[in-house]
Amino acid sequence: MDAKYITPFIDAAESVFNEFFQIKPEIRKPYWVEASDIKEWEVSAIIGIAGETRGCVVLSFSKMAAEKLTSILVGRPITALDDDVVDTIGEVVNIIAGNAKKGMEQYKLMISLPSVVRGREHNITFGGKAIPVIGIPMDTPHGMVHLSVGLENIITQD
Amino acid sequence: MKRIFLAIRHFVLNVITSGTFEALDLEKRRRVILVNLLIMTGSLALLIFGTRALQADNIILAIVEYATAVLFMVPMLVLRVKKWIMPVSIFIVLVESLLFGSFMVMKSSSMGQILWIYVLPISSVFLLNLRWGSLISLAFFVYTILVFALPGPWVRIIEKEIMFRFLGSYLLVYFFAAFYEGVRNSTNKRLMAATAQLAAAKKQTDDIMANVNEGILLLDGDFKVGSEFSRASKKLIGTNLSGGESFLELLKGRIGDNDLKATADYLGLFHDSNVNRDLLPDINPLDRVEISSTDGSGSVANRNLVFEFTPIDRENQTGGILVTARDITEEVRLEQQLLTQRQKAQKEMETLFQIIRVDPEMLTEFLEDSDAELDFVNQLMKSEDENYVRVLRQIFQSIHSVKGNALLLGLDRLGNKLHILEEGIKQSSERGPAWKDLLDMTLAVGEIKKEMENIRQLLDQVNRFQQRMQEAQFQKKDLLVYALERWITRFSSDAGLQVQLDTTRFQPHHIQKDQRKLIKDICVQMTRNSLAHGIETPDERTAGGKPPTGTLTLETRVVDGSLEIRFADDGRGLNINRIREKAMQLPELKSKDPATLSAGELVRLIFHPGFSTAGKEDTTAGRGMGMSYVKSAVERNGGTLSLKTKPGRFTEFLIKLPAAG
Repeated sequence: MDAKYITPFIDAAESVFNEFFQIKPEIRKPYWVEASDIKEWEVSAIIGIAGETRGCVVLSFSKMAAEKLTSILVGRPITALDDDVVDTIGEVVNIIAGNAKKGMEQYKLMISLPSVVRGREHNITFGGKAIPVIGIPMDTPHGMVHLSVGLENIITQD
Repeated sequence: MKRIFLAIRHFVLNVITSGTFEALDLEKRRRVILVNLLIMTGSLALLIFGTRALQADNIILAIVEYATAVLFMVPMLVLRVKKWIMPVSIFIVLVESLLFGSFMVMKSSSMGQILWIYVLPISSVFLLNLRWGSLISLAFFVYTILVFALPGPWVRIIEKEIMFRFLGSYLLVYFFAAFYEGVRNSTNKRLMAATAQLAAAKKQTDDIMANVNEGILLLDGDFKVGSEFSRASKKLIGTNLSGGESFLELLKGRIGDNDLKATADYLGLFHDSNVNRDLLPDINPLDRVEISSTDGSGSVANRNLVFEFTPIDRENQTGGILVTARDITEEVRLEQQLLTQRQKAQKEMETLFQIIRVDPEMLTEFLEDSDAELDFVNQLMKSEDENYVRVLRQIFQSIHSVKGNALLLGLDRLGNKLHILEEGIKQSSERGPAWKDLLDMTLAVGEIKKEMENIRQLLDQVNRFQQRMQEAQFQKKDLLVYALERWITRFSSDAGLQVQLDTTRFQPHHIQKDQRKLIKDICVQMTRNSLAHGIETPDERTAGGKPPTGTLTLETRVVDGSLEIRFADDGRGLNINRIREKAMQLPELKSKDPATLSAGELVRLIFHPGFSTAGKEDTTAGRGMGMSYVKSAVERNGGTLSLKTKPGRFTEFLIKLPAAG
């Protein structure tokens, strides 16, 4: 069992939020994501991971969080999940992924550019049921941001 | 002084090689030097003689000699500028021939001038080649004889006597030149062949060194790398390998310091003549070593290498060390993979042994309960409750109950994991849980879920296996019956009979394993007997008021530990009269009158070897050995055989076998 691929992403998200938005997200209790869970997010940025482990890391934003965070960065009020939001969220997550990569230099990993999806309550599953997804909610003053991690050997076969 | 000498030497070499020094190959260089020397000495001599002729007022001779000298010098320049070796050589030989030829017929010639012609065979043979040189030399020889022998305007300047000696020594000079050239040519040819061979061999060696996948290099006495090494050495040991550097320096920083030190000590042993060479490979510190090497792109890659060191012994002296390096990175990776798999299999086996001891239903129940418990844990994690200590307390209780059940069922592995998780929860709630603790805990719960999933899969496998085993067992029990039925189907239709086998009271488990073969053989014999003698055709049966299908009955019973087998057919029964008829033919019974034998005695006859009432032999009946075999086989196994029969109704055999052993 190893959190070594997960914590760098949480740390990176914390520091990027702090640097760009001057906010400190509250890390909530992690849990195993199930299909029946209620999804509060509407925008997700997906980062593919390959190398010594495979899978995805996803940062999902509630509508409010996505709009607020975007408006802070673009400097004008945002009221809809438009292309600006998609671009901005993609950019922010890209920076988070870059930071996380710095914390994982000792592992042989390749991290893809984030792809952003929009949609109400979309599910996040990787590789069917075979790879379980761990969810880590992060509360920010602007709304909920949710980290989902599904990696092949999060659960090690010792 | 030395510098002056060197300068002179350089100047002389420059002049005689026309400034080419060692640039030309040996053959051409030889010619150039010879041409230059000939030109220089020839011209000098001609100039001197020309001057002397001038002093003696022999103007014509002087002019000829001066002119020749100048003409002679031209090739030297041509050679220097154009490097025309062959034309120059031909020119010189030509000029020589003309000059010497003219000496022979010139009035003013003296004896001394004629001696010059000795130069001709030497220069022609050496400057042209053996063939043309010989031709010119011999042509000149003939010319000289002709000049001497034929009358003409020329004046004979030497006596006959001297002329013969002169011709003789001319031939001698020619032969020496020819001999020398011939030997030189063949030596040269052999040398060329040897060089070509050597070059081919070198090319092969180079090909090997360039393409072999192993690092191969030589170390000298100071452990410096030799200049020849395989190309792969660079890839394996380091791109900066160029030959001449210290082997140990090359490895520095790439392998551990301890390994490096051990290697230095180890290589030192190769110089120690007291060390047993056979033992050296056993203590090789680089037998398996991880070495970091930089590839072309500058990134660092670790490789697993096997180094081998072989001392090279030349005669009377210790040579260097042959080093080979082999890349076993892939093998090591596979080995590790295999190890992981073996550990996984081991783990599964362990779990398997644990779960096959447990009642499957209990295990299924446990898995369901635990699933629910772990789901509850996950729900707690999902809840909005931010009082971590409270949440952890609830989780602890759930995990604790699952652990208790797991240990109760003897699932030690799982129990152990749950115990570790439990401890972790306890500790983190005591010191105030951070999100990292919660993350670790969640991951641990996931791992336990996975473990339980593994158990579930194993359980399924065990269940499936048991089911298959039961089916197989079931089939095995029926094997004897199955064989008999098949046999009956096959032969009853051949004989036009309708027969069925009734095994409703046949209990295979009554038959012990070591009795199976005996009973099978007996049953086969009795079935044959019934089909051959007992069961009537359907028509006969219907006429006799019986159902058209005959029935064979096979029953087993265990009475007081001994096995009873009843085998019966509802056929025509034993025909006492036919037995009596047949008995009269048996030689052993000639002494008795079969007519006097009782029915009981007659019936017993069917167990007599060689007795058969069947008319002819076939696979079902007739050799008369079948029933006697049954009887003896039963008796050999300490059993008894009894027979009941009622003509037209049935024949019944009852076999009693004591429990084996």
